[in-house]
Amino acid sequence: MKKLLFIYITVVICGCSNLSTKKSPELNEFITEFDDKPIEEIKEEVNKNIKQFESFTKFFDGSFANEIKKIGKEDERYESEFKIDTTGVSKSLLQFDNVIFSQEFEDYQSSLSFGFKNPEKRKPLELGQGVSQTFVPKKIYYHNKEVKTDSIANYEVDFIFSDNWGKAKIIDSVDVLFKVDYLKDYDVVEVSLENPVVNYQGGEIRLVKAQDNYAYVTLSDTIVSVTEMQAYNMDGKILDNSGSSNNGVAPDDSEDIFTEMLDYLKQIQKKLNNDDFKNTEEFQEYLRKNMKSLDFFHDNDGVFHKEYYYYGTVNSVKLYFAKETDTRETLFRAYNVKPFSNDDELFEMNTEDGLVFLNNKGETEISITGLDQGVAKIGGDFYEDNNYFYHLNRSKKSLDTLLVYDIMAFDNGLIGIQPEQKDDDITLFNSDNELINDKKYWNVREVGAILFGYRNEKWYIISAQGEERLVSGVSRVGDKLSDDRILVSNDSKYGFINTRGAIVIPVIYDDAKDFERGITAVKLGETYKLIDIRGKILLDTEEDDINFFGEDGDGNRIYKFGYGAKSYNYKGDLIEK
Amino acid sequence: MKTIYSLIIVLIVLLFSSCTNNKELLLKYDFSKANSQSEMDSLLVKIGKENKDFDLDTVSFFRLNEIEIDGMHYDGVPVKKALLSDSYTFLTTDTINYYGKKLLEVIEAKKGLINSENTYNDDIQFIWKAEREDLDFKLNLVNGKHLAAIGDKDFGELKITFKPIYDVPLANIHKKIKVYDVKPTYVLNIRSYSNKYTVILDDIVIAENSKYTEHNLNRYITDGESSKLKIIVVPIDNSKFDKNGTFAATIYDETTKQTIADVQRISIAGKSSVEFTLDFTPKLPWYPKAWNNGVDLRKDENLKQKVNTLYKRVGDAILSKDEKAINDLFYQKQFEKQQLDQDVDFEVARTYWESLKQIQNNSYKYTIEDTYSIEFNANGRLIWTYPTNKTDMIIFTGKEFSKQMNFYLYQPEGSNELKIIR
Repeated sequence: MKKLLFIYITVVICGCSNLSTKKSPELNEFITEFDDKPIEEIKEEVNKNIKQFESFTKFFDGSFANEIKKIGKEDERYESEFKIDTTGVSKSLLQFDNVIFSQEFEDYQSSLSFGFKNPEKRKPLELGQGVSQTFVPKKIYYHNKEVKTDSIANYEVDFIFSDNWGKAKIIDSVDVLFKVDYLKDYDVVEVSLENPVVNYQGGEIRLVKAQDNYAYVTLSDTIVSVTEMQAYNMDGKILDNSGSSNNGVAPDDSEDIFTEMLDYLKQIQKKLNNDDFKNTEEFQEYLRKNMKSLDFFHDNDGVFHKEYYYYGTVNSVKLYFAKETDTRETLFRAYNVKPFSNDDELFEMNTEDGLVFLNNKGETEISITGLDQGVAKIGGDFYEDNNYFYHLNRSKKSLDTLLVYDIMAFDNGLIGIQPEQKDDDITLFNSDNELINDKKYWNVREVGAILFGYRNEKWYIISAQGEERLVSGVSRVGDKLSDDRILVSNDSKYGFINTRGAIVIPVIYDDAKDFERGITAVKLGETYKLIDIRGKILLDTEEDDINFFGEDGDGNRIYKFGYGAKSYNYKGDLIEK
Repeated sequence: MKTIYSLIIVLIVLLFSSCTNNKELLLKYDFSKANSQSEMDSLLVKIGKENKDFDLDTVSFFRLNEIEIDGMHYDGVPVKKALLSDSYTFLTTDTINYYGKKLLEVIEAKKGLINSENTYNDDIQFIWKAEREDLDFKLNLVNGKHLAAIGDKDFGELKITFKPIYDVPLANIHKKIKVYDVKPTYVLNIRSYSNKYTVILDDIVIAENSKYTEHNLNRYITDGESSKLKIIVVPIDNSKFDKNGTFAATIYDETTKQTIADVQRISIAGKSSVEFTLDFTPKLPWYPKAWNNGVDLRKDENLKQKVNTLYKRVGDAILSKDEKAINDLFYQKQFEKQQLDQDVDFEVARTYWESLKQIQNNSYKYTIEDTYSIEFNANGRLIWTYPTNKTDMIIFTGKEFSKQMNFYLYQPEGSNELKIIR
């Protein structure tokens, strides 16, 4: 709910297309959002957000208005003609096998940011012209087994930013409907300086003004939304668009909307601060009655206004309207990237005055005030800020300060602590800050999800319970896990172990590199060989010197030998020069 | 005609004078007048008040204000742009042709001539360091280094950094240092390959099984009497010296490069340990008190307790940021070191003090080694302790911060407490 009023107003002003038909549901929905909110909280939010809105109006004062200016022929920029491109539609439906989200909490609110398990895939495919894609949340599966389906359609499935997803409660997964709407056929209507008015769908499309780089078009409210609007210069070339404004009210009137809204908000603020509303219901009733009277909800001129700016001199404008559309959709499930492992796990949330620990139902279990902002989880029940390490003492419901040199959390749940200085051995603790054994490690290292510990000149794989499995005959362990293989050496020779610590490729090579995509290069005898993950020699390069690896256009490894004289691709195929 | 001519002259003079006065009137924000960061902050506040169009941040700790207004100058030299942070001020002139060179002249007149620094490009840089203020002036030669090429793209930059003034004597030792006509610095230089060396000067072990081949001896010289330097050499792998193994060593005066005593190159092949002795009579212009009035600690039954007490005092003084206690603990050691080096550079004591402050600010605990062996030097008057479990006798710990310490200790006559001396 935080900043809801502010966000709502911003959205309304920036995107009030066809407002006359949409206003009532939006307004009602907006007012309903206040249902569970105490009036004092609403007052606080309005007081806080009104300042932001003032800055916002100041910042955008006049800056929405692009400048009408002459653009010389040499500076004109062009784009291609609108054309339906549905090539990516089928593929786009198959891309959601591995969607994840990260969940963060602040001030009793939860926010989600979506992504893909494969870190190289950052966002969904971009689709071509005439195709639009939407994500509609359908179900939220909370960790406490609750499933929510109502009032969630407005939550954003955002692959770039973090967006609000309601109250702070652990979400295990969400079901999302992915919809692709695409044009199958369309109408084109052209208006120009010579022929500025065209009748369409029982309404009228009018080129009100075309001056230099500017085109102002009105459409009767009865006409469906425009899919695309393109401008042409005198030579029939399509001009690149540099900015636009779409509004329910005429351009001159829209400039007053900010001022009007700000005045209105200030009225609300005054009434709230004067305690004019007994409760939230009274406040909601006031909004219902009064917001309707604002001018910007009264788009009475019967037309919709489109102002566009281009990189060139506008002569005519073509508007594209959907005639036949189709929709394809798929439902996918996204999972929390850091799922709750135990039901008694607590999650932390920074608040304005401290740190709160919530259980999986979103209920406050422990509240600690007086802390600096910025306490962050290290792992398990261990936390840190700029100056100290802490352990969450559940029984005392407090954070115990740990005066140690360093604390490191490992993926298998163990915690490594160095008590005094950088050179100290590392001792291992469980999440409850209990020593798991009396062993002291000179080095502890994670390779993939495997925890290795080095003590008494021997490497061990350490389980989540702290049990050791000796990696025998190995004095060094590499730092990369690939294809279930980890490079090891006994000082003079190299080989590979698997994630269970077994030597799966003998330590016999004079040189070796980490595996990638199932093969790697090793030096055996005088020359380098390419081997597979079983150690089988795929080919002898007959080269005695390997250069740094190169990369092909897709980022795959290239094996280069003899200063680039001979190269093999990631599959082991010789690359012809 | 003459009257008209005179009138023109008068008008020109008046015009010139008016321009000059006008310019003087404009020069109203003088960065050279600020003698501390707080005075610079006050100047920023003044600029902010008198130039409402500039929305200056005068409050934030990490503020950074970029100002381009008329009237800014450094001792009369107009400044085109000023960048003011909470810790430094950065001034940019317009061009070298006009005020870049002029600014350099003004600073040189004020701070004296110094040599330019080496830079990685064509720029010319001068740095004046002083206790209160550092000035870093750079002539940015965009057009190249040739004087003829200097033009309107080149400009001068001055960075002013104010430093805190520390009153504690430990940070002001340089003011107490006497400089003598001579400054002999006795250095032992060992020339041998891949061995370990134990160096003992007048019964003081100054290095044990060390790989270092150069040792400053001044710090262990306490009088002008004949000194005996013993060097024990063992192979690095504790086996036997290589068949080509040789040894040579020289004591020389680093300032005059004069050899004081030496061991001529000699074969040590096949042996497992060798020992050499060098006798010399050091002549220093000043001798430290050092441990000369120290008592023999070899039979002190409470010695371990005294060692623990000393390190506890060090730990408590630093954690409680007790400047007087810290000064008392470390002053004599640091003073004797700087006096032996005749080091009057204000930055040496300041840096040492700031290194102690860094420990104070970053540590939340200290731990003392309670199991250690004691080495007696100088007939029992000077002790060194070897920790058994820890790397050093005292370790300060903070979040991802640690600092270790270990000292030579002695007990002055008439006292019952150990003191840090080296």
